[in-house]
Amino acid sequence: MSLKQKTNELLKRKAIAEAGGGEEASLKQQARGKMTARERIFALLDKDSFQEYDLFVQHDARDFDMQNKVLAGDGVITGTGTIYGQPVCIYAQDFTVEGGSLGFAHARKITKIMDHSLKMRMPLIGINDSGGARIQEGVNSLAGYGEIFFRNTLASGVIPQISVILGPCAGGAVYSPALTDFVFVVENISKMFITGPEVIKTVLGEEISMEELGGAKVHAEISGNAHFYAMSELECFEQIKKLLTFIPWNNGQKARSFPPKEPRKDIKIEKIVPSDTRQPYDVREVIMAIVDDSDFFEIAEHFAPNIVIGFGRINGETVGFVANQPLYLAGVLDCDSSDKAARFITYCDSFNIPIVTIEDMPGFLPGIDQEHAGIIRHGAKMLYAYSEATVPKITVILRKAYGGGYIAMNSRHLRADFVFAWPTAEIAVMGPEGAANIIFRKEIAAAESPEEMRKLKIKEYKDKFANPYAAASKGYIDAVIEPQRTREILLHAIEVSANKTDGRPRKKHGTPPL
Amino acid sequence: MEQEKVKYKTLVIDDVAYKTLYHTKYEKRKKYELPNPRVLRSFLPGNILKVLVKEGDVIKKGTGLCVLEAMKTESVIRSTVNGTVTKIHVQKGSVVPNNALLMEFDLDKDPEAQSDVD
Repeated sequence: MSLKQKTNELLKRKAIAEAGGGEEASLKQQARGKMTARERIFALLDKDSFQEYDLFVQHDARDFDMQNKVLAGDGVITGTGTIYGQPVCIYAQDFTVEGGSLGFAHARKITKIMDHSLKMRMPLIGINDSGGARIQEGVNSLAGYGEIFFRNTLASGVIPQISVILGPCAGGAVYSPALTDFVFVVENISKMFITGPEVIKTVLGEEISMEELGGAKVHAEISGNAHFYAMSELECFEQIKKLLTFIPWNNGQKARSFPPKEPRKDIKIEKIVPSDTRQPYDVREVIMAIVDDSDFFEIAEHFAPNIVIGFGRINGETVGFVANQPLYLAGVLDCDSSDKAARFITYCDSFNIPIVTIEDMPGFLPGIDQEHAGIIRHGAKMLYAYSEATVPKITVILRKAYGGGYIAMNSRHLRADFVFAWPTAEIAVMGPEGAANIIFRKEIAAAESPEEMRKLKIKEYKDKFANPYAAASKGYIDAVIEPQRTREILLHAIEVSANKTDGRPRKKHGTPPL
Repeated sequence: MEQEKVKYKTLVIDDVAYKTLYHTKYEKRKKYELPNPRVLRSFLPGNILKVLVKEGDVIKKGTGLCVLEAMKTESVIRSTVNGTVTKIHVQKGSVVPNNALLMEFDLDKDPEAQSDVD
């Protein structure tokens, strides 16, 4: 055979394998409103940048008649490509091939590209669309999952790992996304659960739809398993690309710098925050008044909205924001918001991203449900994460900084590098009303008019302690600043922190309150 | 900014009433109920394989009440109180969800006998 003939033979073989489960299966995928695995990769990566590997891999299962089944690429496409010119590793499960089920060869293709991404120190993007374990392969498919999970933990904190759920992702399979840094879901398409609705119905007698059990919205809003929620696959890919502009390619690098840009002129920081600490406002507007181009990229916006996390740039450099959100639940810390913030702080610390904390919270959420859900342990995660982080850490206190929440929100005591406070800040053990009621209990009870006395004492307490100056007099706050200078001061603080060197005692690892 | 009028709710922390919004999960949270020793509820969803007592039976701490098959395991559910069975809501073969009402009891008056429930 001539070279030309052999090349033609190759092209023929490629065409067959690249067709995946064939036209009919692809049309079914389309009918479900989903793109095929190959279309997804092309839509996400830079044009013509994808190079596939292991296209001709075949399974060697011999039970249940599997020896007669030829599965294109064994149901998964793996390769490398670029996004905005930067290299990434990617895999996409192909639902048109045996339901994207995971057998041993399928898993080996995934672990091979994972090993590659870790060795080459570049991000890994996994597109999940699979019916689950390939039951015919028995324990071999479980072994496959285990090998993937182990590698997820090896790569954690070294390279960014992104999971995109574009179909079912059920049973043990869910633990790979759970171990990765960012999980993306799409309305009507993503389904994640440990046990599906059928099992729940037969075993438990409880009826629930797939959407209500583990649809995109559930994970974005209730469980917190998903960080990004989109209405379409294309919107989801845009979110992934945008995220990648904010994060470094591995833990040995810094995120890319962009040309600095002033925030929008129409957002006036001093006009957003009411001085009455009981009045709500949207803290995202405060962040937008601080960051370059007013471009704030929020993470997990629907889950525990009483805390806001996300990326923005100051002077062209990526910064991670953690901000109490008075618009929801008065910005309290609770189990979910502590978890959400703690994981993000750990992420920023792993990947050399400075953290700016915007503080305005009345404390931890009181309640039986919170106490029983372990608010002590969950809140401790935040203390742990902030204390452990050695990236530049800057706090701006806008209004309320009460009690344990004050300590937890990146206080000086957890080794914040800079703590700034607005003149409206109140740093105190608790809110003035509660404090006055306790301290002056006897005076109030003994007074002729207890209500009058209570008001008087609250005012007395407020005048004395509900301000930033008591904390400033102890040096717990570095500077009290004019609100309109916030961006300028943060810019300066980040600039002077550029060469921060800080360490913690050597250890194998700590024992955080997981 | 042009916005619809937002209806704020109130959240009280340390005697201060804050104006704010609730999110879905907070609104859907379940109210805490004190455990009630007068009723027996399922602790897992499953099938009732056997009912070991009948209405009117006198029971002691440790008396087997029924056998629940759940998560591929058969468990004998034992009484944590001294008293009398007043009402049985299930029978052999019943499929029960989690937290389903299985039985009701009258408790013995003697407070000594009811302490140290395990």
